Amino acid sequence: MNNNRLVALGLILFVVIFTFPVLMNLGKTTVQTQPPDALAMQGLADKLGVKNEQEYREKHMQILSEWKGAVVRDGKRIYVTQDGREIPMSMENLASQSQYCNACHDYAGIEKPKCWTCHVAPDDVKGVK
Amino acid sequence: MSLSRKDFLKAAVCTIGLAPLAIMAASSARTAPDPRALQGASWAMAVDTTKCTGCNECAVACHKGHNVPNVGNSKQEVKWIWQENYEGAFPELSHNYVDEGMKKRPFMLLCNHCENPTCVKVCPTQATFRRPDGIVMMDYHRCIGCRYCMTGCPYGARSLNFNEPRDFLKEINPEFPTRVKGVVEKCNFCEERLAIGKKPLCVEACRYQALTFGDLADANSEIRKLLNDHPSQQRKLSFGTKPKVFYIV
Amino acid sequence: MGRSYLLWMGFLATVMAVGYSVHMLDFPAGLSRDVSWGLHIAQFTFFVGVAASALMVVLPYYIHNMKEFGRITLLGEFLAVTAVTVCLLFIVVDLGMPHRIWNVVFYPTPNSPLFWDVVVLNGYILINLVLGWKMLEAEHQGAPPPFWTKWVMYASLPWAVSIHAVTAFIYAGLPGRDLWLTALLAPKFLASAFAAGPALLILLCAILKRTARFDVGAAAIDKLSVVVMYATITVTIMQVSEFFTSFYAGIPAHMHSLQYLFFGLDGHHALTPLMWIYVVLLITALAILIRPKLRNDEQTRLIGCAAVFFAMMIEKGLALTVAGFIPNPFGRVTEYVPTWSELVVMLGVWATGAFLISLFYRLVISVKEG
Repeated sequence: MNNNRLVALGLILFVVIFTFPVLMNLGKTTVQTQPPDALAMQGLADKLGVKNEQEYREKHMQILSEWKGAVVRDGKRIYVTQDGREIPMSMENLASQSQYCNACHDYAGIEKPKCWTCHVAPDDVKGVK
Repeated sequence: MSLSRKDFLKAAVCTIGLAPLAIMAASSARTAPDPRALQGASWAMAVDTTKCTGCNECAVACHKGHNVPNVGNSKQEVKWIWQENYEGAFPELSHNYVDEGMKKRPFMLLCNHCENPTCVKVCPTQATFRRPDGIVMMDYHRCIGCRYCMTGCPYGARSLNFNEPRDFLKEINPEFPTRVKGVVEKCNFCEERLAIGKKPLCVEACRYQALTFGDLADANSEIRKLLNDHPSQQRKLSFGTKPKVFYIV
Repeated sequence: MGRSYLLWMGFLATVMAVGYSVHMLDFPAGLSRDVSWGLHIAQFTFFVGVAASALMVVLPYYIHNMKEFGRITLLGEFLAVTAVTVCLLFIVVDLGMPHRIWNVVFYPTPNSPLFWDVVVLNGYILINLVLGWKMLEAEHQGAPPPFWTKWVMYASLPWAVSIHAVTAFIYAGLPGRDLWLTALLAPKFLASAFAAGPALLILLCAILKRTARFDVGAAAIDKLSVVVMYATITVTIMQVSEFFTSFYAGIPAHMHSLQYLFFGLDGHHALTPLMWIYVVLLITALAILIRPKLRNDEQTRLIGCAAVFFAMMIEKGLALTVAGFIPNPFGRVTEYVPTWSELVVMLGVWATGAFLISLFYRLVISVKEG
């Protein structure tokens, strides 16, 4: 008979722990309630060498991952796009996190990229406008 | 025959256990060479201690350009290039009757970018690796912070970020990343500058031409001429690490 | 479930929670640029040895058919599983970027002893878990275990040696660290493992006898204490050998680390008191274990085993790792003393091990008692 109580306690504890992220975010709204504007998205698409916003959304994580390997491990810094353009592979070239990466990622409710803990976004540089 | 609960659990755990094997297939980017890049097969540095005044401008330039934090606590400091005396630079050569001049002479120490690097040998994830041009690189994305490389390096060239570096940076150079707490860092022979045709920051900053950077494989390089014309020594040669920093004494 | 058992587990769970919290709050450690490995890595090194010592109960029972080990072998195997878990925990709490630990699997690096250590440790956990489970199941069902367990058991023997040899190789192949750069390191690790591990097992069996009224039998303990004796003698011989090579040759680089430990170096002597305690413990252990009358007497045997365990804990669980970094590559001494948070986290990991082993032993005892 004792066991039933322990089992029930364990189940409640399990449910609480398992749904903790949901419970933590009850009542909160996302920071970004509007998607970022089309002009900014096209700018990002250009910087990554893809055609448009749609392609950017599909491929940007993969492309950035390739850049990471190419720059750090292969020592190559110039990327050749699908249509033969040469663009620099540089995180510092991309827009600041607070403006762009977070804008979409917050809006979509997905994990924010951790790149900017190391890579420097314009907003991170103290005393530089 | 129905599956028993125990068998089902066994199968489930084993399948989940295989999950780490699902490595994302990494495709490689199409790249183009940069015509500005300095070409070399065996990058090395010569430190002319007869010219060095110990002004430390090289260290200041390096640390500023690479966002190396000034932690203030010497036990956990982060440094890529720094000054030592003769006894600290060459403890196996130092004796009790070293001349006064040598005792006072500054020796700039940095990662030796060894040809047979212990750190690369021991790193469990290849977060530190040796490039074909001789530079021993750090991949800060991959480093797990195990500090085996620090333990293995016989030259004390590596530093762990015990603290969040951005807390200790007065200014951040926007052209170079910072690192985060938990990864090990060291001199990278300014490979990001070599890629666009520039010499390392320390070499450029030195007003006395005490630092010479060049390709050992190029018989006509400035560094080869320097080594040909002056007596030089290296740190802890007996370990077989084949360091590539030379000290002209 | 007895009340005292629940209280014990509750106490352990509390210590685990405190240790875990202190770890997450990330207080500064005593580590430095010069001494980059400290208490946690040293403890990992020590407990790999404890894990390897399962060999000393598996070998007599399965290979040499010494039936008196029948009740202790499973205890040894589950001690091995617990010890390896403790090792892996010590590594995880020590890493600078623990969430990247999978990189060791994604980017295998055969030239790194640390990579191989991860491989062999996980393999060893698997081997002992499977072996222990199958053997226990067989006993519970009153039927012989499946035929393939024999091969798993055979594998566990060289594997036990390998986990500790590989751990020693982490240290023994580094040119800049003279204290560790000795061919003797792997053999010394194994010897101290076979001293400390079985000593711990003897202590645990004494506790089980008192708390769970589970007696593995005097025959097994008597034989195991002989193993502890010979292993302790071997360790002592090796320690003396180290001292001779260092101090007779008198090469400064080969002497400095031992000098720092036992006599202090350049005015630094934080660990010297601990090292002389180690010496006293070692001599006490030898004095007890060598004399059959004292070795076979339950009370004095426990003192002897405790002395061995704590002596090895001092040497391999702290001193060896720390002193390898002293002096630093520039010939200077940067000392290391664990901070309170490192000690609390260590206690949390110990408590996790105690928790696990209490679970395992309860299982084993309930099966064996029918």
